[in-house]
Amino acid sequence: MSQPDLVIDYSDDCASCHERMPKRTKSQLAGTPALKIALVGSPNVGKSSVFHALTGRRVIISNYPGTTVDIFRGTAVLDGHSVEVIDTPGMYSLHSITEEERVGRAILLREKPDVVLHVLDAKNLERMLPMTFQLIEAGLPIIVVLNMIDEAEAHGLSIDIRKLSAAIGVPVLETAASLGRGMPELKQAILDFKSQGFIQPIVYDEAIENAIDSLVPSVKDSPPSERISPRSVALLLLRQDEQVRRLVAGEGNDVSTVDRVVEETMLALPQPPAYLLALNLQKEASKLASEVMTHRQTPGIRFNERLSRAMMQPLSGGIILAAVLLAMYYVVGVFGAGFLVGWLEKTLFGQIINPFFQNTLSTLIPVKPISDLFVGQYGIITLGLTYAIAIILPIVTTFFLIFSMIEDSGYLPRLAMLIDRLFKFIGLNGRAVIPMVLGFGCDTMATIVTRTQETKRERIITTLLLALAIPCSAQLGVIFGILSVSTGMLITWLGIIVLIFILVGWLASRIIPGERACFYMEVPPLRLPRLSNVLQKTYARLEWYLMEVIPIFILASVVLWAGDLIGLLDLLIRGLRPVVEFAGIPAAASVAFVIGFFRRDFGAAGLYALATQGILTGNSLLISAVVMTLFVPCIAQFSVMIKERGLKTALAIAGFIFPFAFLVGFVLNHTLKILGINL
Amino acid sequence: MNETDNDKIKCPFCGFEFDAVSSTGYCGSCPLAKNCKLLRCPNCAYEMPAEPKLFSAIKRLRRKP
Ligand SMILES: [Zn+2]
Repeated sequence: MSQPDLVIDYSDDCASCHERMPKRTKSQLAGTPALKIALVGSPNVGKSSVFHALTGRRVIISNYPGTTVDIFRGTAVLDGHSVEVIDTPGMYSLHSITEEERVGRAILLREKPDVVLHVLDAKNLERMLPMTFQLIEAGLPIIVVLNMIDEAEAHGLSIDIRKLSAAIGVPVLETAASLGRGMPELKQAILDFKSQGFIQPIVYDEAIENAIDSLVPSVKDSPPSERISPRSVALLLLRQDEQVRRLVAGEGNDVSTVDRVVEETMLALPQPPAYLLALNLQKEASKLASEVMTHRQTPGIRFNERLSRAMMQPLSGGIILAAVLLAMYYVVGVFGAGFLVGWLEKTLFGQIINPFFQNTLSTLIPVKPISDLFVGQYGIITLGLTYAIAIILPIVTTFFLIFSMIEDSGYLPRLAMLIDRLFKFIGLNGRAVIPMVLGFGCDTMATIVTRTQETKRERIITTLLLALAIPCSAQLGVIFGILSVSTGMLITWLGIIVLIFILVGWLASRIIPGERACFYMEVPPLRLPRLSNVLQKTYARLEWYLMEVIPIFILASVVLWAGDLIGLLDLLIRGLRPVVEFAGIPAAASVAFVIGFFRRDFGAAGLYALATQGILTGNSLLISAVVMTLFVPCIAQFSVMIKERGLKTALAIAGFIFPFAFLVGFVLNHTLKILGINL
Repeated sequence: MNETDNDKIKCPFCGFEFDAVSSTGYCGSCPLAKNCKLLRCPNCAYEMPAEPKLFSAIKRLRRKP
């Protein structure tokens, strides 16, 4: 164990029981504990409340050796015995994917805890039981802790813990750790714990059981079998867990038999074993949960639950999503972009602010190139500040307002579940859902988040789709503004982008084959947005956005001004002009595409300005909105793509997107012409 | 480091509760990391702005009449 990085001393008042706790000294903490216990469980099950309730809030945070993950250690005194308690990072399964999950598993394997507390959210018993089964089949000394039982009761749920304990053969307790409820019983159960030896909670399909039988003799004496059952090692190997395979291969063991059995099983089965195993576990979990759980309906919850389910079902969910987008469009596009921007841009900036500075500065600074820096075509005031304040500000204000309402209501995780269904349909990994939903906030961040995905293939496809078809929040707002002329235009734009997303995603997942993974996410309850929360979030986002965006817009104006001065900009625009015209967009829009490199929303604001000047109308308005959405990401996103995926992949993605965006414009232009549609 | 539970932030995306201090895990590779004041959920990486100073000041005023 490395030196602790940080020691936090919480107040001596125990939060769970409000009793004064005896002061403990550092030397007592360092004393050799009689027992070592580890807490495991998914994120959000209240593991840290259990941890604090056990340890009395004196915690040592340290970095787990060789990783970037922090873990918490503490000491509990149970009936005079000192017990070491380790809180592991959240994990969904014994088969580890993320670094956090790997650390969680490493603690179970390396630290050899005497008791493992598997903490579950009692409300979501069904979804959490698969991991319980895995821990039992690994032969770990577990106690099941059904935490947050108070919330489960409030939902009208009750669980027969005796029946559950008898079915799985391990102790089961109910707690509400944040209230201190059930903690004395848990402490006693830890002291009374006796390991029951190996039990087999689940019998899998015949092909898998046969594979396990063939693998067990080869892994029986391997290093991981010292800690977890050979059956569990075999199951992890069938899930193609690279780390476990490396451990088995460890000290020069022969793994050729193992590899052969795994490969033969993969070939013999219709779907990857990892998928079938997960399915099997989930089926057993649902069966057991329905046997031990009773549900008393309460009317308010019933409506919420029905609405919640409707939001996640493909058909009703699609309709609700369309309604949400339409509402956003009316608030952001029609009111924000149509009404507010119209007044600010035309009246305030167009007739008052800009003419004032143009007159004063041209008399004050007689050298035209210098006065152009402020009030010229690409001037700091006439371009940078006008775009930032007159176009972007009202649009993002209305956008953030409605977005905060959506966020506060708990709709976003449900949107993720809905998209997951679409993803499965096009053969993509469910884990890609999170970066995709996050992409609507900021694609740069979302690109970084793709690293939580399991395989390189998944990471590349998600990065590509993020760069291609997911507009960031500010850009989305401006696109709503550009298309505010008619709802038909908005629906056509949406249809085209969704179609391209599905098509490119589907093609990419065909070209780069691989297996799918299950997606799992906590869905917090739906609720009515609170006005104070919404206003605070909107204000916070606006403050952050303006602090970040105004300097960038000013910088971009200076770069454009300099580029214009030395003729570089002209060269770039002339180079882009044939491409833009090829797609059926007026040449004047080339500037917008050039500045779109700086920031997505900056480019979109350029298109917006052209639209209000009447240069972009009808078909070309729709085409430019589509091309701008698909078009290459901003500099920040591109640099993250290089950093995360490497220069070659980033260039390949950009090399695909750039011509593809204009090609789509070209096809769209001709399709509209052939069909005789004039928007 | 936060000394009280009042500083716990609840992620609006997944409902996970965390300390502001544990929210910078993903920032290392972001080119905007230095000046961006967003908090990141350690569970799902959803980003949200920190409570604005104006609001925390109002809250403090209310608490101490
Ligand atoms: Zn979260």
